[in-house]
Amino acid sequence: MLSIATKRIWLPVVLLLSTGAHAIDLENHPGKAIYRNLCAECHADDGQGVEDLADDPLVGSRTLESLAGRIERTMPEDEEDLCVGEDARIVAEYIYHAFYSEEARARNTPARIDITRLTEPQYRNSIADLVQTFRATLNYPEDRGLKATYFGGYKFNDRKEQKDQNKKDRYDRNDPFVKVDFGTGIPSHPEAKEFNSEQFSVRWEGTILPEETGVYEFVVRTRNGATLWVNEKRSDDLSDKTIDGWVAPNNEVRDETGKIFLIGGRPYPIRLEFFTYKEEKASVELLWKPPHGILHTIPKSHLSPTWSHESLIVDVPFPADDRSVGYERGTMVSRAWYDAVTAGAVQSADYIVSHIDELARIQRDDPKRAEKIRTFSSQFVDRAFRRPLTPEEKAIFVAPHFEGTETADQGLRRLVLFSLTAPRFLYPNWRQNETPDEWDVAANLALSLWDSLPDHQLLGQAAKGQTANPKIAGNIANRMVWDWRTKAKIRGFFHHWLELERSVDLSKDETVYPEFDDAVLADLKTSLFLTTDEAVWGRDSSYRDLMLANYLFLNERLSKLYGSKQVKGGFQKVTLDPKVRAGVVTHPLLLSSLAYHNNTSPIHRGVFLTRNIVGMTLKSPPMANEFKEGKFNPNFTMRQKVTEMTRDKACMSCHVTINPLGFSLEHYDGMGRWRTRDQNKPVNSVSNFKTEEGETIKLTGARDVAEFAADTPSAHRTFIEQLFHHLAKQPMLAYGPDTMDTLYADFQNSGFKIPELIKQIAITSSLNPNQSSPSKQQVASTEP
Amino acid sequence: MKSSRLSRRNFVRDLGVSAAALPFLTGLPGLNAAAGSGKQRLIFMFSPNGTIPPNFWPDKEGADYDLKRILKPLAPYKDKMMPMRGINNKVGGDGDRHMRGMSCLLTGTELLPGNIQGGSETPAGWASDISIDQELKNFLQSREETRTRFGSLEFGVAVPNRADPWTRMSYKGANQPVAPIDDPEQMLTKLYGQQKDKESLSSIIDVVRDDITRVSKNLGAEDRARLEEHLTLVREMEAELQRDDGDNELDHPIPDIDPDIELVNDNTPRISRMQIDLLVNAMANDMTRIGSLQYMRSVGQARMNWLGIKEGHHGLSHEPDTNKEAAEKLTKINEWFAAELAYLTKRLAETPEPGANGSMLDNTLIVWLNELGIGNRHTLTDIPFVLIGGKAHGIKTGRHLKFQDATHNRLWLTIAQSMGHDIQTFGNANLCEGGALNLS
Repeated sequence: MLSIATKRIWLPVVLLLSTGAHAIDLENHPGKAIYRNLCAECHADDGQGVEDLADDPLVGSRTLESLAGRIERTMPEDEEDLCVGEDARIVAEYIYHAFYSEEARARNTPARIDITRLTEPQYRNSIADLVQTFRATLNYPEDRGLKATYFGGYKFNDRKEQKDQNKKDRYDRNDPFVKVDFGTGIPSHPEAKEFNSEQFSVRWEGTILPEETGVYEFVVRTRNGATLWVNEKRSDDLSDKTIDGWVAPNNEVRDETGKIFLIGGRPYPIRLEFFTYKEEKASVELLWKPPHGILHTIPKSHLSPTWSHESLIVDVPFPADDRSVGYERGTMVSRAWYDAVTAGAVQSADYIVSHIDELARIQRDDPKRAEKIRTFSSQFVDRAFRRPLTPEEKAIFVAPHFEGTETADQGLRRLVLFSLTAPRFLYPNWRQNETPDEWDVAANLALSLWDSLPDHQLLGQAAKGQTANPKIAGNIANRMVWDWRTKAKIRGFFHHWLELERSVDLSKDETVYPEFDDAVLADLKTSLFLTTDEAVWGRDSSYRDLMLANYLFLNERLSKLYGSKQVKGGFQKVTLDPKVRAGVVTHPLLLSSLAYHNNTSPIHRGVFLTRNIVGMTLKSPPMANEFKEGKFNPNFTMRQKVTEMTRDKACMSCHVTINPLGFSLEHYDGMGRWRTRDQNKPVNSVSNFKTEEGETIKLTGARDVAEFAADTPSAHRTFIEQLFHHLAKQPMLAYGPDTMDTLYADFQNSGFKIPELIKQIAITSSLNPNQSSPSKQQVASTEP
Repeated sequence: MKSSRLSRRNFVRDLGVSAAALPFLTGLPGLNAAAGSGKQRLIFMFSPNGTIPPNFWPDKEGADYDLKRILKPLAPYKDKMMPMRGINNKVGGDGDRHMRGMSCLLTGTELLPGNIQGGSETPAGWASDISIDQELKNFLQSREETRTRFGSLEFGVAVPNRADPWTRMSYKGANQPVAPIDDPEQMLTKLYGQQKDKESLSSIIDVVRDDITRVSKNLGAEDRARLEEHLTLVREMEAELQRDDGDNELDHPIPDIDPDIELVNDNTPRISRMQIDLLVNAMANDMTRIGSLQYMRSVGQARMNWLGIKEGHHGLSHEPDTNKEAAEKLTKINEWFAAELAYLTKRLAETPEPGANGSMLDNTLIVWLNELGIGNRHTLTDIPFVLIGGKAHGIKTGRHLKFQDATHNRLWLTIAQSMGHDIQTFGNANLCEGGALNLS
């Protein structure tokens, strides 16, 4: 596997030898003269190479000794005797430190916008939305529940013909969810008089709204006949059914299951058809098990009675994206990735070929079928490559796929395979102009806000040149910020920033926290995202609310554990004592994931607060030190244990910061419940905390930390930086040294409105000149 | 049921071996043949709505039997064929006779109670146990030497798009019907999809490579390096695709199938031939040794316009015997099915057995099935079973055999044992009394 991302691209500009502390003077280095004399003719002064002589830049991973040996043996070509022995060693040292080594490259090319490939979410979204551009706009429905139609006959028809208007045995209504036991009776409805229990049928339809990306298991639990379609067109085709449970044996309750991969944050059509015939009892329930979740009735919050169009969802597994620089980005070009991309292209081609009549608006026996497929193909490539191709490009990229194929469908298939494996699709910022044009901006905006490619509206704006106009681009970005796709991407940001991968499959010691089960964990995830959604998108919300809010979203189950009073039913916003809850850092999911399975963990909590919330840097621990319960006095509180464990001076250089922050959350137990005692002693959450400016402040508990974060520039900057990297997936410095200051000023002026910050980041990273042009002047600039 | 199974075991133990199994244990022609070519295949072909007995059953028994109209298309294979009279589906229980005729045919056991109402009798659900084709698939797949990529393939021709006990004869187990694939393109993708994809992928690699090379010139070193990595992967895949072409050469090339054929009634004859070609091809390439080919479904309403018949098949089959015109049409319909069977047989007979002497037919046993005996009476007796081939199975075809009220469960026992799967009951054990039929 090849990795580029391991390069440290933010190394400060220093000219230090890695082996010692003295600087190398490259300008007067004796190797420089030898290099100019013997090497530069082919390799150029800066090692970048000369076309047709030495095409590749003189960079690599050899050691200095190895490099010297190679020069002695092989260089200069055909005149190897000219540079041997001490000369070879000296010139190698110059080359190594001037441009060859990793450090030299980091110095010569500081933060820059890399050509990156689509990340996994970007790949899946781009394909789904690319196909979507050939259909009606996909909206995120606001209403909740499902549309239900009840029929008096078992074949989804009225039992009697409706000659007599008074004898209606069909009615429509909205059901919040599907969980109904008819027993030996009939659907209860004032209009259901004409029903009888021998036979009736029900159709539920609308939209399903999954939150996470992954494999969903759907379950229809019924005594009777039922069929389920998820993300499929309205079709009776068996192969399109997610669950076919039409035949019901024995009138016994059974689970019919079907699995489907879905991208979170996206609406999909759903339809459930149910019937009973000459059976004693009737019942039906629609459940699902989300990725890492538990099996439960699909709640009203995830259903809408409004129909949505289906999406093409590529479900092939991908290798994890590289996140060695602190955020996920598309720098890992590996065989596993390429195989996944190829498999995804094959899957997409299958889908598009089988849906082409609908996508290209081809009629039955359409005489223009082949022509329409060609037109579709041409548009498809344009949209996949995010800009209209020139006629010359069309001749290269479209026409050849249709040559030598028997049918237009075969040509279409090849074209889709090509488009979706082509670098122009996979590397969206490949070939971008140094000053982005209207198509580059549209592509960048869609990528930074949606992890996707431009939709219909954005394509239209790009075609009119509006996206390249900074004044109009603000309005365009504003529309995009409030689109559902941005909301999905922002949820991903919180998942990353709050390190919620820790909460995946989180479990606790059953003797210490018997209440913490999978159902509580699943509810806590929903609760957290409701909280962050509110803080970002709620009217009058801001970053300060995210930090300071004294409410939690709780349902019946969670309110028993975390509430002050009982909540009935689904999630509600519950206001709590401001001392007990203070913003997102006191959300029970975060506190549970930053804790041991049988206790709290002030160190985990403290490190998280230091780095992600307060925005201070920490070095790696000087020695590995495992927290072992058994080592301590069994009567110690957690605070006492941590204090003892980190009392060493080497430890305290960082723990002077970590511990006070971690201790401030000691009022929350290992599953995030408020507590007042630890080991039968009162909890002590008071510490003195030294800021980066050297000021000492007293923290009495979680609210003090939250207020410190809400008011402190380093906390704001950390938030801006993390959000920037999640959205742009490029180093912030690559957009100019003032980027942070400008964004910070905007953020402050907006009253710390997060949507405003999202918009400014998108505009900054989409419109600013691309500074990635090869920088050849760095070495030269060391000259007087 | 349990006690009868025990008594049957006792019976076998007391005897040492069952009388019916004896020929296989002594003569072992099936196993001998298998040792020669290494292969025994089995194909079930289903057509619906019963037959017209006077135009089907031969008058004479034994090797010197006569062919009536419906079996005439199979005349070239008369000495490799065996009509079997007196085989009855005696499975009772819920469901109308079309349902039981279909879903108890290969399972030999009762349907579960359920919510599907037929034309008469009680509603029913799916079959309550595994079918013989899936049983034998599991058996073959459990052994290294008989394992194949798919184990079994279920083909359909004009099977309506609905899943119920009338449309499914193959079961993985209780409540687990296996859907036949009736779209040749879907089957082609299943069999050769990867191969086809590779061809398409090969065709686009040049364009991708040229594009990278063209654009890379304008890029900085690092960006160029990333695309170089990409290009390396493209080249790697190209090399693999070329290598695959050499290594994985199929014994028999992918059949030429029109991928755009519409699945409509009037295309049935073309679809039928495509499916047969694909089945023979898959078997020639040893992707499977068990196959089924299901025409329509029980109660099938195919309109055989290509025979000049405008009425639906099932409707016609309800006409009384006195309706000579209907009987004539039903005879023609069954002749058509027989001709499709003849085409299947011909394809197997003319294809040499890969890596061995003889033809594929020598190592294949075909069983022609129907859910009923006589359509207008809905009989489950005298079902028109026909066996073809079976040389490698030690089954002596080339004759007309008559049985006295033999259950079809016993026929499945015979076939299972002939393939080395030594089971003594299958389906409802009460219906296995007497053990396997002696067909050697």
